[in-house]
Amino acid sequence: MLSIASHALARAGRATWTWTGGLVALLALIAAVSRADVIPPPAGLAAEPSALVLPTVALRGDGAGTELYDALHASPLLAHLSKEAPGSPIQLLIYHTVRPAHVDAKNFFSGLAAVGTLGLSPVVMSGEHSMHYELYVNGQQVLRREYTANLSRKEYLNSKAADATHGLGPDGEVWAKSTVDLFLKDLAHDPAVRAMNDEYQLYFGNAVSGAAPPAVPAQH
Amino acid sequence: MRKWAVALAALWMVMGSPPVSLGAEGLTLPKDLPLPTDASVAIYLPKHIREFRNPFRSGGGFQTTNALQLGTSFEELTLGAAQHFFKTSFMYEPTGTPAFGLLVAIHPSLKREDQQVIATAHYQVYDGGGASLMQGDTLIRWAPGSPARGPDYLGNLSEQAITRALTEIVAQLRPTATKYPSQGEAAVKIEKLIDREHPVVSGTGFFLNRSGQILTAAHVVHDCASVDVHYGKDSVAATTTANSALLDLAVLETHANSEHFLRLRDHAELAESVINVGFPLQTLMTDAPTVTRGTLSSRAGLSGSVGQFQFSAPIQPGASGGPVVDVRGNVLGVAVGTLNASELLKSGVLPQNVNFALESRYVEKFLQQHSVPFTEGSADAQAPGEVSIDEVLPAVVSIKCYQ
Repeated sequence: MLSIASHALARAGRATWTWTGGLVALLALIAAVSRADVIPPPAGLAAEPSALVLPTVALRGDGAGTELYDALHASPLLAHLSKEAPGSPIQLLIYHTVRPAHVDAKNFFSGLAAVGTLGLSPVVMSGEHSMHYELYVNGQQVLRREYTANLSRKEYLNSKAADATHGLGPDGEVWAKSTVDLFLKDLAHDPAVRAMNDEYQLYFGNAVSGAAPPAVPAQH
Repeated sequence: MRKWAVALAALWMVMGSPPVSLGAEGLTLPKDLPLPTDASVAIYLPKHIREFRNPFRSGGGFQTTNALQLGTSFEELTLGAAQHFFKTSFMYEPTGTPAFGLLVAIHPSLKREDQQVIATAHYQVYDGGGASLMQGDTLIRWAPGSPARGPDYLGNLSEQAITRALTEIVAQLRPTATKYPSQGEAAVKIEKLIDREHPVVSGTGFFLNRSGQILTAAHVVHDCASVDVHYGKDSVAATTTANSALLDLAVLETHANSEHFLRLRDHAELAESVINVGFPLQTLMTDAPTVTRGTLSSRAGLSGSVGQFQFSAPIQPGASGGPVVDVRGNVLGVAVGTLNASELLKSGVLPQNVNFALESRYVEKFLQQHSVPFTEGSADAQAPGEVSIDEVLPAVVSIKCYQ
């Protein structure tokens, strides 16, 4: 079952977000924006002054992507990763796709529909499985990584809800979690990410998650 | 609005996988012209199509890589169609395109009218020297009740529209490598390939100074092949000279002599009256600006946001980059977003006038970082001097982005 993170923000110039989350969560988020949190870097980072600690990063993920939250959040780099910060200018998208065998470019939707007509859901589809990590700042892509593995099994169940592995299968789920370290390494060493963080610090300092940011001194 | 991408995503979500009839009428190809021809062709597709990705599908389940990378899939099916007509075909890039004999610029679209889905392709053809050879439009229509053609009808529709365009080109030009020898890309500038009738994004901006520099939202001018600024009865080309994705701000250089410009005020009061000026819904409305009134309703934006305040003056798509001004015409912030009413309505909630703007103090910091001159207005919210909106309007501009 796909679980899409709640997003209720649309740009005035173009509608870009989808929203499928709960109303209560949204109202709570909106109500929370008056908080003035300035969160210090996680403990243990003081001895490593050059370590990168990103500000609030909003996570949007499908079922497989959201499952990786804990592993990502455990890293000091993404200590401020949040599933409840839809207004954050920095967004991390994580999702899982499959490229089935014998599907050409114009077959945008093949695979899922084919088994859908049988009343079945693919649990693990044969083919090239990918975990996608995409970092955006206000819709502009900063970093994109895709990690791929071939999973050859094909299993079907009668209910999508029965598959807790989100189409990965047990082995695939282990593989998906193994991509977290690869991504964190790439994230930490990417110059564009560091530049993004530097710019954030320039304008907002350590403000995170709906915080009222420190005043910018008037220079005129 | 990125029309093709949004239309495709919307159709995908709304229509699922209905049956399809491609309905393309056959065209007569020259029998004495062996296909594929030895003429080489470069194909231009707008960037917003080539790079469109749709990571989250509606309705549950994981998705195929093709469905994710719709832009890449579209590019592949276009080249696949071209291979039937040309031995050598490749995508046109702004720089580094190999020599070509023909250049075909294709602007595809998908839209829904009544119960029909319509795929169109507007095309322009140039030779390697940059001379315009022909142009045309193709249209493929799917209607309910047509024979089933499988789940990939949107891809099929698009492929048929492009195939028909290529058929028309080959039938009329009868291209060969001798007739259209390969030449470099220098003679065909990207400006020729842009669809100037249909901007991919439209937005709002305002003059910052007398030198013609304009402030707008960065996402309005992101990835544009060309940007036009419209003010009063004038229209000028603009280039981006400063940009911050983080702040969603961009400065445009127009070299216009702007008598009217707006001042910035870096401290706004809660509940003070505000006015938004914008050029929303530019495909529906006239070119006149829209003025809405409201209040500064919160000092903070949506959870997770930084540097934003909330205001209640209504805004619509296309208002991005527009000024939120006080009663004296000073800019308190730049409109950057709103709650998505249609999405919230699905959950039974209709948000009213929940809009967000970037505070002017961050605008000032950004301008200082990039050495862009601006003028500060009075910082006193109670200061006298309410101005007529007519003094604000001439400084506000409409911005259109083309690919």
